Amino acid sequence: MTNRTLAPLTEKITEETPVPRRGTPWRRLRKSPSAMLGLAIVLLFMGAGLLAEWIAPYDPLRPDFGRAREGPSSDSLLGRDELGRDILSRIIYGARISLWIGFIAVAIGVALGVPLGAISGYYGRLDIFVQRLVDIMLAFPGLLLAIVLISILGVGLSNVMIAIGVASIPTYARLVRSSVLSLREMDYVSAAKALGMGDGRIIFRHILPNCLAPIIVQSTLQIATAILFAAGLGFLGLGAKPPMPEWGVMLSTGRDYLRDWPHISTFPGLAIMLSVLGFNLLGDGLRDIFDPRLRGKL
Amino acid sequence: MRRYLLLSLILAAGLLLAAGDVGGQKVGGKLVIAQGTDAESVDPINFTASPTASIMEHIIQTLVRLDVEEVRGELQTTPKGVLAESWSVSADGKAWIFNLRKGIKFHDGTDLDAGAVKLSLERALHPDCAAPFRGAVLGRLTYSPALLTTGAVANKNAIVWRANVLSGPAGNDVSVALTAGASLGVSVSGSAITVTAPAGTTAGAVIKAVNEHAAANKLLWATNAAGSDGSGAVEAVAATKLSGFATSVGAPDANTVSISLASPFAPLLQHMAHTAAAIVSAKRVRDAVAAAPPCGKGLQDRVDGTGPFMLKEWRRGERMVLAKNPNYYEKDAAGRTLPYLDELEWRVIPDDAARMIELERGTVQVAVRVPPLDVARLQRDPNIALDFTTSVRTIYIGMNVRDRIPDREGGAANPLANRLVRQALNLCVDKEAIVRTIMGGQARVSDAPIVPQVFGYSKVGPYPFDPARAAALLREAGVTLPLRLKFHHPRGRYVRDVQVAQAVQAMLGTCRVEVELIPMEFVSFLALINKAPSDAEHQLYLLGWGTITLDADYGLYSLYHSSQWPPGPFNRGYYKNDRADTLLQQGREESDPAKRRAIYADAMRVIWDDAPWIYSHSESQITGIRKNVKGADVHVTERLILWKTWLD
Repeated sequence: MTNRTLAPLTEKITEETPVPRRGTPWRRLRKSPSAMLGLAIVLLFMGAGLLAEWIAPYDPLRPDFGRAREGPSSDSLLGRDELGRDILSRIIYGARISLWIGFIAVAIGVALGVPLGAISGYYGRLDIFVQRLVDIMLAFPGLLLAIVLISILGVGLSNVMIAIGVASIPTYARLVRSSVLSLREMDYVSAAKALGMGDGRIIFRHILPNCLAPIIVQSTLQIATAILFAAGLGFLGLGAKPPMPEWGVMLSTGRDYLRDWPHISTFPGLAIMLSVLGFNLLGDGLRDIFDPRLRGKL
Repeated sequence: MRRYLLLSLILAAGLLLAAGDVGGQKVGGKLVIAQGTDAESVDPINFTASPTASIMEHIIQTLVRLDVEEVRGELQTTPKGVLAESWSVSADGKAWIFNLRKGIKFHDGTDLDAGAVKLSLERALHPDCAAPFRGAVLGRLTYSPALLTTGAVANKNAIVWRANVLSGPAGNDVSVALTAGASLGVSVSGSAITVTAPAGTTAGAVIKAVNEHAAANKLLWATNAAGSDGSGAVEAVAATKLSGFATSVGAPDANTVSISLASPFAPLLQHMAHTAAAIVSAKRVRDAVAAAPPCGKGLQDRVDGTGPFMLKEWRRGERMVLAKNPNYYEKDAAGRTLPYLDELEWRVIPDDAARMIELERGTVQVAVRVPPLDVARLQRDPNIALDFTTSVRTIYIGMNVRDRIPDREGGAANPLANRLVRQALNLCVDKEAIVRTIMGGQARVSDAPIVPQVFGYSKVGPYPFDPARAAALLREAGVTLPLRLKFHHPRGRYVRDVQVAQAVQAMLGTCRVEVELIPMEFVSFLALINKAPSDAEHQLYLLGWGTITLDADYGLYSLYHSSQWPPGPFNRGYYKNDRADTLLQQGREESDPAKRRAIYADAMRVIWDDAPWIYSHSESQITGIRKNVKGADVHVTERLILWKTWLD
């Protein structure tokens, strides 16, 4: 900052751009240690989820009452829960459930939110209606909206995915709308219109592909949110049900033993924290690569 | 931490200033009690659970109460008069007389009299009111629809009854206008009852017709017919009795209540001590019944009793506040008025851990159902004393044994109708592990439907833990595995109820019985399982039953007799076995204790073999009480008794 006067202003801006815009995205990602850490964590959990049957040391559902509430040991690395089930095995199987919820919820949010945002941004006349609808949805905090939806749909894992997905629609709608608003004024869009191209083709061929970067970034971050919401709903008894090894449920059942046997809920809690951290770090890294201008906005 | 310390010091100082010291006992202050569940209602004909009764007994009272002591492993009860000062029974054991204590007032200012007792008991007996404990507690009292029993022909054109009118025509006298007509007919309009009758109709025929009309139209006319004879100027008096008393309950005078039974029933006093036989203000009941005959409306939210505390505020699901009854009649040994406390606040904290944290912080002073695994920690706390009182509660997983379970497609076959499946589930549950691991050893594996301290107990079990035999039985039953069942259970009602349910789920899972757990708030859970069999969708349900009369009749009849199917009573799995029915009925009617024991032993063997429940364990009561709370009593029937309690 003290050298500000020494360099011309234009040069300064290019120098300050955090990640140089050259090389493939992967090469740029490799240069960010925090993003690589995030990716490593995400891959770890994805690997655990995919290979649960082969890497989990025990059956996650089988109780062993003789070993109930046992602390961590070499035989059971993270200890045993209140029914004597192996906590590590349950966390490994839980990764599958949490990631599955994350991906499906994001898919629902993208599938419904992106077209809604595109229509809203492209057709000025519909904008006001769609955006008021989005405003209404945004007026509820995301988790509250999900709880309302669960109470309508009923408790269950698939309903959790739907509820969290629907709760993320307004985020996507807003995001895509703002991109479309600027993109539709681009010369190449005017050119396409002048050539007589239909609206649908313009939106899908020329506008949406250019919105992809923020959608990818948002989705990565949204998976973290979805995992957190799913755990929250599970904790409240509105999501996955016992005996399913869902992290939020594990946290909730362990709560009764927190004072004397803290390991029962600490490890599921750490799993939630780590996975959310991983997706957030990865999302931040991707944002820096795809669209440095968005830093601080998402 | 320091801030709380200061705050509590200031509060304590304030309490000390406000509280006048009377000898050892201090007057004033507010006691906060944490329970896991809210009350369902405060109406004695509309509740089922002990936590409700624990609160209600501070508001409404019964004729007698039970003092309990343990003699050679069995609990023996001594009835003590509450509203009744004394009582006597005829030599044949059929006619009971209760003499009421004089000068007692209800919270609404009206006097306690025999009419109020009669009205409360008759309301509990009315078939349309479907009081849950009607069969269990008052089953030996009769109710006949002949509501008007005596009448006098005032003149050729009218008959006058002296009667307390609960609904229908208002006023004390029911006068019937007689007009000549071709056939006997009754019509009621406002306060006028008109009877058309052909010439020569007897008074008896008219009375019968009016009674039938009243019964058919659900007009509850209480039967205070005493003194009806000779009212008004009379040409011909023809007092007619139709069928003796309309109910077993009579009120010969203002301070005397009579109960007549068809056959002797030894545990009558124990039953009259049950909260379902509590006495409420007649004025309030009449007003409520007038609004919604025959059972009344609004009494579940507000009731006027004679108890040491009055209902002040009730926020459902959150808390109920009771204020001291300044006119309470009972005095302590030194002649001081009771209760000592100004207010009781019952808070609803379903979560065990949260309830214990509040107790440890001192924001509640009494917490029921201390989780057994927390006992060691709480015993180290210098401010908390743990009370261990015997409990007579059996925890079980009931099974709906109907052939079909209704669903949207018109019903699905129910595997639990098969006795072999039910036995297999019993064999698959490791009761020892539940007692050891979940209950921390503070429980006992059930070896009969009732606990050893209850009269009539004999050992008929337990079902061993034998997954191999369970698997064989399931094969023999021919059910397709995995067997999928729904399991509804309450949260926060019983000791570690959620954990017990999850453990049972895990155990059944190893036998390839996949159970879907549906945890519910207790009051809505009770509503769900209290349905007529054609509407009942539940399969497995976790419940507990405290045999609070300490007699096997109460612990078996209402749970296994086929007359006790919901809605209302407690045979919530719709179990029916003719042999069990016969034995349970015999047990009620037999008065020789030795014969009764033999009958109940037989009945329990029949029931045990049918396995309508998964028999789990019996609880023990652990109550956490802060040491500054003095004189709090925990009754064996899971009631807190707090009218002699004070804060030090």
